[in-house]
Amino acid sequence: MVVEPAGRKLVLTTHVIASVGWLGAVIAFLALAVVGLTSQDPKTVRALYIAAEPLTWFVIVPLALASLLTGIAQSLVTSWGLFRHYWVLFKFLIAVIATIVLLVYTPTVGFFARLAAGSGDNLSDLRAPTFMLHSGAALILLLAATVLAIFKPRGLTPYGWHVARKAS
Amino acid sequence: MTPTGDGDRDSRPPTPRWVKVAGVVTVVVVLLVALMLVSGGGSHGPGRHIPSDADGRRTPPGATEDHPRTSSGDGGGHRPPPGAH
Repeated sequence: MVVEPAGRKLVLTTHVIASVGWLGAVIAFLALAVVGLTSQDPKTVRALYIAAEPLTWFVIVPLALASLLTGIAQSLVTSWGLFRHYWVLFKFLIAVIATIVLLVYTPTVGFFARLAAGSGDNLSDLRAPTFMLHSGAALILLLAATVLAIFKPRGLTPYGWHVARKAS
Repeated sequence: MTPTGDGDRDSRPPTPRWVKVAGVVTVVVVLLVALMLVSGGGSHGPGRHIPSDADGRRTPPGATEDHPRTSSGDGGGHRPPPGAH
């Protein structure tokens, strides 16, 4: 797809903003999870679990979808392609898997928000490490994607090699 | 016989080592996650975090004796909300 340099830079800028924003939002979610798991103040813990739901729906989910879609667009408007280079393919798979797990996990976030809203001073039900485990795993995946995007390690996929050979 | 000249151009380069390492790590992680899910009885949802009472029933906050939100009537398991993960 032929796109002017200004258009490619616009797509790239949007992709970087969405991806870095997603990473930052996951770090914020992890901070909520850690404090929610360790704080002794019932009001603080309840507030954190309640806040996790809007953070998920209004920040993390939109940024994840934006990162995935702009990443696909970025691959289409540049010579990198989506399936030609291993690093692009890995990054794409990371974004797809992380987004699917995120969307499947949102009912759990809502469940704990409702649990927190009605839990009173009893924190035992909220002490599950599920938030920390999931956001920690997401953080590792997104950090890996960021490293791939910056270092762009060499390696053509079999498809990419065929495309390159035809072009030469 | 070692290919030379155009033969080198036609031979596909080997898969990079970092790809192999990443592939192995991915397979190991997927297997570990699958093992954790299976060892959890295949149940993986928010309800698993709700503590049971003395009778083994799971009673989240807000539930009453007459109107329990969840119970162990499904064979001791739990019943997460639809689509729960």
